[in-house]
Amino acid sequence: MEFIKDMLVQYLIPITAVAFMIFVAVVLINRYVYEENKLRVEEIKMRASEFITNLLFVKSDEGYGQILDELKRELPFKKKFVKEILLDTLVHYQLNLKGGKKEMLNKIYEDLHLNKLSESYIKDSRWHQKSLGIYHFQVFNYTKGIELIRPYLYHSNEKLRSDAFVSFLSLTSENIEFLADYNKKIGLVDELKIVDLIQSKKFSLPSNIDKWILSSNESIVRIGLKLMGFYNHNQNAGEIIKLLNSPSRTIRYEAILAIKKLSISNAEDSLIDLYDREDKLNKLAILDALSEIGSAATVNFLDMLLHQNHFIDSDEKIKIVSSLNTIDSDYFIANFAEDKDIDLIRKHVANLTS
Amino acid sequence: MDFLEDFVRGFEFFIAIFSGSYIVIYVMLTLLSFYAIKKHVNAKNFIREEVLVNSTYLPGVSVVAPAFNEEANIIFNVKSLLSLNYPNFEVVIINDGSTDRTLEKLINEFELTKIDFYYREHIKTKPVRGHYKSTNPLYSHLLVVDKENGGSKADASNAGINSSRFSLFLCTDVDCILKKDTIIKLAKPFIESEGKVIASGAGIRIANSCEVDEGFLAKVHFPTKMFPRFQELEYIRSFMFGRMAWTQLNGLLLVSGGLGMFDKKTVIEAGGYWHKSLGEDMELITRMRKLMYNKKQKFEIKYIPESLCWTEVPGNAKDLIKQRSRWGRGLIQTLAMHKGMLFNPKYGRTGFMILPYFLLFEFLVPIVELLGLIVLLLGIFFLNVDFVFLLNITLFVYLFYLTVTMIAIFFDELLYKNYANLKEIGSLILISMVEPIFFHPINTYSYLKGYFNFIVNNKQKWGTLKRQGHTVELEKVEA
Repeated sequence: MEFIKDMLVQYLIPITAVAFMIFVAVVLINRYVYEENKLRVEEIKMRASEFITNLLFVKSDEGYGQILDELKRELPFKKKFVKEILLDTLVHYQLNLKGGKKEMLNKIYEDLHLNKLSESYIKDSRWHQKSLGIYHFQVFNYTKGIELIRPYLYHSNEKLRSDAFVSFLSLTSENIEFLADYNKKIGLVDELKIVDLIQSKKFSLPSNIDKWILSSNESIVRIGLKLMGFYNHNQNAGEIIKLLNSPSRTIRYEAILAIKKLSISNAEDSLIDLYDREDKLNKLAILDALSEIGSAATVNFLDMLLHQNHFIDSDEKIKIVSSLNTIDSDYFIANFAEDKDIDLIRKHVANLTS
Repeated sequence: MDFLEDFVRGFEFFIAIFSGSYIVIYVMLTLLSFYAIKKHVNAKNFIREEVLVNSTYLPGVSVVAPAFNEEANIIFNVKSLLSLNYPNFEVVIINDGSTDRTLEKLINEFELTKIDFYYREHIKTKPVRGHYKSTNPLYSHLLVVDKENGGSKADASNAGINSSRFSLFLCTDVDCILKKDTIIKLAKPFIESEGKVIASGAGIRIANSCEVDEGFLAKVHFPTKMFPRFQELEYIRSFMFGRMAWTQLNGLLLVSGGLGMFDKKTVIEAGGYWHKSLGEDMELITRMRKLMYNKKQKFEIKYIPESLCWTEVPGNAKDLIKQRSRWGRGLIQTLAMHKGMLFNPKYGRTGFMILPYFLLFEFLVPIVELLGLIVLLLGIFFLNVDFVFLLNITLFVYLFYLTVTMIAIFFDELLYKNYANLKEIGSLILISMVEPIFFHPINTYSYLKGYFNFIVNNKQKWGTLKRQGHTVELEKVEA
């Protein structure tokens, strides 16, 4: 007991008291410094935005140079936080402006030597700082920095590797055909990023896209299918239909979406054959695709499904009615006029899509 | 007298062990929380939200919000929900048999008309009277469900889940003010994670003194009244600190009913919200965890250390006691209902870590505090109490409590700077010093009251908070 009493008085109470006071001081000082600088920072942000707007709309090279000089004179340009403000403002503009102004922003980025700041981020030891620098290169299309990114394509940190990979794709002058042979795992999020990149950068469809969908890397197959859909590339319809037999559920799903997007009507029988073997998500995708490409065979198939009423999940039932309605809206009047349940689903679908 | 002395000594020994473990666990939670927040902040640029929002491959989300007698603010609140920024979502408002003009106002404002709706009762609820959609394309994302009052938010939420059409749903209260990017932030873990995410949640803050303009948050302020101030501190501690640590351990047992996103399929399989529960959000998560263990399927529940939702909290002691005794009763109800999971190897860390933590350090603490008070009084009257030691140990516990609170405030300030100025931070720090003396005993009393009600099986009531309204709206009315 005496030991506990001594511990309390000599260590525990003083330590917790000091810890409490330190945190109070840190919170208050941190806020005080923030508030002291807030006005100044806001003002710099406003001025930075004004300068960048002026730079974007100036007509002559001479005027451009003058504004740059003025910016460097008026703002404490050598300070890192000012460069960071300028960089953030440029990124904001870059993400929100379109057309020729984007190239102008790239030029401002280089003329203000902000690429040096991005480089310093890439050389930082922390992965998230490296990622930030890499992202800047991507946003400002800073192709000269590509060699700084290359080493991170094989980095052990998955997130850094992913960011480097997407930026590399964005900056490389090489064609993206090489992706057909890419054998590293690409996460679902990376797939979204890559598709977004390819679509926003308006890459032309890779000439070897047929190889992409035959790749042993599932991600490349999925990306290839998405791209085919995006570019309305229906020359490989046969291969896409073959992918309905892929052992991978997600590849089959992506193939179904591509069939719908590309309106590959000769996939109808294959989709109907596949239906029973699929899980709910793929079944719904098949029904969606059939509503796009379906003919009399689909109508018969959907009719048969509806007559097996009690075996069908309710979400599927709604989709079946919806698809049948899309293909032949008179069909219900002729065949299900007395079926109140189906009539309600028809109205339900019509209400939700109207 | 010997017996009493032995009892008091025994209790002292128990308290020493209990407090020691409590402190060790809190230190561990602090470290975990710090690590989890740092990880989140570092990774925030990994996939940018603007890339996601522009993507056509995002899952659809249904925003489910029950409303009961909300005629005063329903229009603003629904407009606020409809303005959320996400490419593919619907807002499902459930009018839970309101006795005021809630439904009428909705019908008039949003040009609603009753529709034929193929309603599927995946989860049993009180009868649904009808579904309404707007004839105005501007409100095409809105679906209103009118149902008989079920006496609980759970029943209304379940009807909303049954009526929703997307695979993810976000559950909130209709009077909660959500940040515009709430859906994408909560959906992000579902998209990013390689494993199966069954739920995600984020920070909730107090709206009592915030400036709200037509359902939109205009400016965040530290509450002006005492009770909301105490709760502000509590919320910071709980959301920035406890839940972040638990998310790091994939041990979240509570995704708040005010703001949580769920995988619909899992929720329906688990049976939805239990309408008899008074802590239905915690109970649902416990049941979802149980389901996933039973299915032998790996899962994650994620928490985001960002404040995405502002809500009004009890403004006086009476309302607070009502709310907290309901929480207390909900806690004991959930623990009792799922006692079979405790130390059951089948339920992994839920059985061996999370539920024992809730049993020992959430449920038991008010009881231990009450016993401590009784023992103290007995000691004072019948035994020689070492007052110096008593004072020292009290001071230590007090300082430890303050330090934990300050760490939470520090994290919050460092990341978000939610408050308007230094004065508000100063008030927050000062209020943290009196919180253990004034607020904590009321909280403890309320929980004990909840436990008592559970044991004697008092009739349960679904508490409705008397809304004080938000500053700006009140001023507008007065003007």
